[in-house]
Amino acid sequence: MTEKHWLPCSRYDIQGLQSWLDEMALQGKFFQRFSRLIESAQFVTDTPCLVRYRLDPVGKGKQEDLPDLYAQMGWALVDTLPRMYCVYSCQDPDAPELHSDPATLAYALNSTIQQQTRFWTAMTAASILFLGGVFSLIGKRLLEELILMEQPRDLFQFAFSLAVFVIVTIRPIREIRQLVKVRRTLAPKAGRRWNRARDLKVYFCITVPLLLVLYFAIPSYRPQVCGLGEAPLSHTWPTLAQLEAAGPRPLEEEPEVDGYLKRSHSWLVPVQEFQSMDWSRTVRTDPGELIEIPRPYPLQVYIQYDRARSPGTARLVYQLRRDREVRQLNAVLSYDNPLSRVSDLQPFQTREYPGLDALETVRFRRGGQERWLFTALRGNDILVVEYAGPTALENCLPLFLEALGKEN
Amino acid sequence: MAGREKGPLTEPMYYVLMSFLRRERCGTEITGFVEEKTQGRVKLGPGTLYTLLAKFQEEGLIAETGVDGRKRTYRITDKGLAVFQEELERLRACVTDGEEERQ
Repeated sequence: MTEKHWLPCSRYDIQGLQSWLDEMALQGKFFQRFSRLIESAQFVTDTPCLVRYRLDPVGKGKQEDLPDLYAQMGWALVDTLPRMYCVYSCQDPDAPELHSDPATLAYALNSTIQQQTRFWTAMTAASILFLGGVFSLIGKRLLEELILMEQPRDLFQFAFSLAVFVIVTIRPIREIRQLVKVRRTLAPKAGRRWNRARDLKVYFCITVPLLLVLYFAIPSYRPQVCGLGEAPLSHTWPTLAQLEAAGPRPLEEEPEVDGYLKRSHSWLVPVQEFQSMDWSRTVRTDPGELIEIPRPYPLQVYIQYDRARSPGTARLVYQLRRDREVRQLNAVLSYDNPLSRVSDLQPFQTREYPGLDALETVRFRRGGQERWLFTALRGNDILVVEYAGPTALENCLPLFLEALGKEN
Repeated sequence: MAGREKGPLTEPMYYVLMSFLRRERCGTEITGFVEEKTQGRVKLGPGTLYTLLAKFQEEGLIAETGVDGRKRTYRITDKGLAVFQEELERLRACVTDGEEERQ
């Protein structure tokens, strides 16, 4: 009959493993092999007897037929852990110890340590490169998320994955240090043992509920979305008619508008508001019918307003918002959908404007319509506006800046 | 130092080198020699023996002279002889020092 047992100490703790395997033999459990993936060992049960188990570090220069040579001296090969050691057993109490000279054992351990160090150094370097790649790809989005806290659950999941990744990478380094310590001291006493089965249960009993609670306690998406006029905004932004009045084709009355509001907040950026306004294609009549109205020209405004806690944070948020716009505009350059595809994208232009700390503008076409977008920074305020319509940026900008100065 | 820069030899190292002074030997012959020479005081485990043979070969203290199946024979090199001689003198000095102090 076979049994599996968790290793009570590190795989690198040679003395600890040896004494554990010896004790298991005295209980009638004879070691067969180590699990390659998890830290457990398989035993076959039989009549208890005295068997010595010894770990022989693998090393360069050793003969391939060593197991046969060892067998001539009473030591039988039981299992091999690649790049680490071979496990030998001996039932003859008169046979000499596998390693009768600690200095020679220390020398034999050198190769194992070198191999393990090389392997884990390569793994760590690959991990760092991988993490570097991930950060270069999503670093800005992570920073943006960290500041704006729109999707905190994603942030939590990323932080948790990163922590696991770091722990998994650091653990072998810690264990190699233990191996070096073994080589240096070759202490006869066994290392610390633990009850892995119990420890794992305790670990799961604590971490799984904690993770579940955190997972469900942390919202996946924090912004509140509602219809236009259903929630108060910090500022009253120009309406579509007001914007048209500044341009060549003033509207006589405010058109029916489709749109929505999105509000969020974080400690660093306590006010985050987005307003989308689109000249409605449809109008609801008295009997409740929806009538499609052909629009004479496009009229859309997207306004993103943020107020940061400090000018430094505001500058950072401004940069992040601007970069996000650049990313999004570039991303849709190659869209197949002609209504979403951006074309004729001009480079962002930095402008000077009285009263503004920063102002950048860009012109492009989306869905065949002329559009402009500006990003503005003033003190703690960040304003990003995208507009599709006949009115020029120069005419609309004063209206937005005037509105920015009047808080509700 | 003639050949070995890594400090004094341990007892098993010393006796393994000594076993090659008169003739070439294979692993089991070395074990027998050491056991006989030390009257069982020094026992060479297989891990120690074959690690030492690999180490000495790597350091150029011994050289492989033949392979017959699993049996490999080795001889001591000039560098190995120098290292052994050096160790012998060190041990001799240790004994002399001890005896001088005891008188």
